[in-house]
Amino acid sequence: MATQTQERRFAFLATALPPIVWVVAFFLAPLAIVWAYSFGQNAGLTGVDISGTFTNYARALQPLYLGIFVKSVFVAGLTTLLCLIVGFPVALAIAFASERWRPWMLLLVMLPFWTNLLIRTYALIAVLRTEGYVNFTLAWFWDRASWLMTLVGLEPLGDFTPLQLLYSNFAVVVGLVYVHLPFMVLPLYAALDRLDKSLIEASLDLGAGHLRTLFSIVVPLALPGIISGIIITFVPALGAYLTPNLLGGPDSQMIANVIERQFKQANDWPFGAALSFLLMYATFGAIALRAYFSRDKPADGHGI
Amino acid sequence: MAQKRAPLEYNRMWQMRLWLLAVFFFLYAPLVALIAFSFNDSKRNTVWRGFTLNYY
Repeated sequence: MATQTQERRFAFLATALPPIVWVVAFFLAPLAIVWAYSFGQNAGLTGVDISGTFTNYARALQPLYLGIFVKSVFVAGLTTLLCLIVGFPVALAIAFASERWRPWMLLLVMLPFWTNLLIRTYALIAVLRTEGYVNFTLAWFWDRASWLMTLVGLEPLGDFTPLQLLYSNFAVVVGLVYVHLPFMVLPLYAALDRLDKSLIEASLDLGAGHLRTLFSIVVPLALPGIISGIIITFVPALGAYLTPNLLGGPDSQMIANVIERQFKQANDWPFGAALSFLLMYATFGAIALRAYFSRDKPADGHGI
Repeated sequence: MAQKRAPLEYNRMWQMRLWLLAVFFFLYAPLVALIAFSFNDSKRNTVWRGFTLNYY
């Protein structure tokens, strides 16, 4: 008997040890170093003197950086809301699609997700810039409208001035929605797929309309999945770096861009570390909020 | 006579189909345009100048 327990313990250690070592050596240890840096100050060009000071955090909470934090939260929140509005009908459609279509629709949602983020962002640049496809389409309609005006004897419209879509907050939000849509659709689909369809049928049978059924049956039952989708979309959107960097203008930088600049151009690792950890605490807060909202739900496998 | 759809066949509502079409257009139009213009015989991907495999 004793040897059996020992064997089991060995098997447990053999399977659990490599991942634990990996996580400690390549995740927790570097994170701890950066955390320690956040309480230090620059000493010379490359050295960091960890002196236990809180000046970095005090600096991070100045109105300038706090404003960028608030703005990042706002942009990520708007992205999440738009993803929810755009993605919910898509998830509903996939959940109610026939067996034949469902895998294809899931593939359609995930295919852009597997494409490189940089390529997708450059594709969006080609769409949104002043010589982009959106402006070409608008110019075409403008010309047609102008032609119609001359046809009915009115003055033709002037030259079309391209809209400045790229390098703005608008472009950042569009880019973030574009990138994060699968993050929202997949958890929503998972939640809607598990829904008992007979409840919807009963609701429709008892006289409720489609909208009322949606808001008083489908949404409450899928709420854990909706909250999961919101968190899964909000957290990466909050830390988005590439999208605001490439699509944003000078006034649309998000917190990740500021952090990147502290680590690279400004060479101020302690301050960058402090900002990073404030961002991480905000993320933990979002996840804790999700746990709080789903705390008294029975553990029936809903939510992710 | 149009066939009446069953209550749970959301995918046969035209609003749903329009929405799906718009979402998938939003997701794929930029990528398709990028792929198409990778065969363009010009360094700028605004005007189509002819087919080429130069960049491959």
